[in-house]
Amino acid sequence: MSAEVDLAGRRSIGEALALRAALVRQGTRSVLVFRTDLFVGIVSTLLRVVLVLLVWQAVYGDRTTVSGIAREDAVGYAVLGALFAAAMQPFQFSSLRDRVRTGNVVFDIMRPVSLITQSTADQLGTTLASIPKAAVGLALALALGAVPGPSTAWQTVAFAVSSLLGLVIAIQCNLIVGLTAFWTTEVGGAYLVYNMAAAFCSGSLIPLWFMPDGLAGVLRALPFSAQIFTPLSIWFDRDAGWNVVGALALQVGWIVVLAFAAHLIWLRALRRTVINGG
Amino acid sequence: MVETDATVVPASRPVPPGWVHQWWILMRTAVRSSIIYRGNLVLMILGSAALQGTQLLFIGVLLDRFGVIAGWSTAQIAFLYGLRLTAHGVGTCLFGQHQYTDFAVRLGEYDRFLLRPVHPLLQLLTRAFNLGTFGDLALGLGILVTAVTLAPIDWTPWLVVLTIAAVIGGGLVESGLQIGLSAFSFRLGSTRNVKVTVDNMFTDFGAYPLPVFGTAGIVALTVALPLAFVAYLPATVVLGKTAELLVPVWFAAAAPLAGPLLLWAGWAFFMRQSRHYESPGA
Repeated sequence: MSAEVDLAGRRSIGEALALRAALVRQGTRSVLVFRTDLFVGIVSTLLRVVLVLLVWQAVYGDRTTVSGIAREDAVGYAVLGALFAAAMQPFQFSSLRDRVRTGNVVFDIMRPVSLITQSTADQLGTTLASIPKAAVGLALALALGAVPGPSTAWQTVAFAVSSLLGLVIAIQCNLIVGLTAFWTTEVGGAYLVYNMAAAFCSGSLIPLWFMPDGLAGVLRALPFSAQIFTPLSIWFDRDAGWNVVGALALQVGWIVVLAFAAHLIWLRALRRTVINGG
Repeated sequence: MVETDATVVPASRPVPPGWVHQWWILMRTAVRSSIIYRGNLVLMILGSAALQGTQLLFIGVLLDRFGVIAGWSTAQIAFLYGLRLTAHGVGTCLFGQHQYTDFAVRLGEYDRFLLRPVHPLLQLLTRAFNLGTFGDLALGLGILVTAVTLAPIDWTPWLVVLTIAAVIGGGLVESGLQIGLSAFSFRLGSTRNVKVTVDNMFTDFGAYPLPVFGTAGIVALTVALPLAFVAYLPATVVLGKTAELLVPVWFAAAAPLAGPLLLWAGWAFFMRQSRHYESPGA
C-alpha cells in the first residue's frame, strides 16, 4: 500500500475505491455470516408478501377502486412497499450507535479512513446483504400476480435507478440520525422514532395516494418519500413521461442537500466526542 | 484432640431473598440505571409510541378510507388492537430483555450471570430496562380504554375478568415464545432475524381479525405462531363475534391460559439449551 500513498497520506483513486469496496464487503459479510438468519430472513419475507397480499385483498373486499386507486395497483404497491421496507430499513442499521455508546468509536476515528466512510460503507454492505431476500420475495410476488409487471422497459430502468437513489437517500438519513449519538450517547430512541417516521412517511406502509391531501403534500416535500414512494410510483405510473425525469432529478437534489447536511453535522459531532475510559 | 472454645457460628451469609424479591431488586436497579441518559429517555418513550403509533396511523388511514374490515367495525378493530398492544406492553415491560440474549451469549456477558448467585435467566431479564416499553403500555391502555367506550360490548363481570386475563396472558404468550426463541442463541449465535420477524408479525398482523387471512392463515396463526391467543380469541368472546370462530367458544375464552403455559415452556427450553453455552472467553 505504501507505494501508492503520497507524503500527505493520500491514496490514489483506485486504492480509495478498493478500500471502500472492501469495507462494503465486510458489511455484507457481517450479515451473511449468520446463515440461519439469512434463511429466516427469506422465509419471513415470503410470509410477509403473502400476508400483506391477503390483508389488502380483504381491505378492498368486493370494491374495485377506492379513492381512485384500482385494486391491483393498491395491492401491488403494498407488496412492493413491504419488500422495499425489508431491504432498506432493517432494525439495526448502523454500527455507529453501539460504537459511540461503548466508546469504541475512538478506534474508528483513529483509523486512516474517515468515520463517515466507514459507517456509510458498512450500511451499504448490510443493505446489499438483504437484496437476496428482497429478490426472492419479488419473484414470489410476481409469480402470485400480486405485483403487476412494469409497463415499459425504460420505466423498469428508471425504477432501478430511482431505487438506487432512494437507497442512497435512506443511508444518508440513517447516518444523520446515527450522528446524533454524539450528543445523546445512547441513540436507541432516536433510531426508533426515525425508523417509524421513515416507514410511514416514505410510503412503504401505505401509499401517499390514500393519505389526506394536506398530509400527502407535506410528506411529498420530505426526503422520506424520495426513498420509497418515488421508485414505487414510477413502477405504477400508467402514463410516465418527463415527470419521471423530474422525480429522478429531485432525488439527486436530496442526495446533494443531505450530503452537505451530514458533513456539517459531522464537523460539529467530532468536537463532541466523549470517550469512556478504558 | 484440641479443645477450642469456638461456638458454632450461624451461617454468616444471609439467606438470599426469594426469586420474586430478587427480580424486584434487580428490576428497580435496571430502571434506575436506564433513566440516566435523559435525552435518550424522552426519545425512547417517544420512539416506542411512534413504533406502535405508525401501525395505528396505518390502520387509521385504512379504516378511514375503507370503513369495515372483514365485518369488524372501527371500534371493534380498535379494541382488538388495544388489547394486543397492552398485552405486548405487559410482556416487554416484564421480560423485554430477552432480545439481548444474542449479545449476552456472544460477548460473554452470560459468564457473569453464571458466576453470580442468582438464576442466570433472571439476571438476563433484568440486565437493563427498556424505557420504551412504558410507551407501548401507555399507548395500548389508552387505545383499549377508548375502544371500550366506543365498541358495543355487553359487559358482565366475567368479561371484565377475561379482558384483564387476556392482557396478562397475551403478554406471557409473546414473552414465552420469545424467550424460547432466545434459547437458540446458545446454538446459532444470532437469533435476531427470527425474533424480529416474529415480533413484526405480531405487530403488523395482530391488529386484524384473523378471517382476513383465510382458513389456512387462521390455522397457521393459531398453531404455528400463537398469534390468535394474544388478542384475537379473547376479543371475539368479549365483542360477541364468536360466530366466525373455527374453534369452540370455551377454547377462545380459555386462550389467556396459554400465556403461563408458553412462558413455562419457553423458560424450560431456554435453560435446557443454555447447557450448550460456550464462553467466548471475554
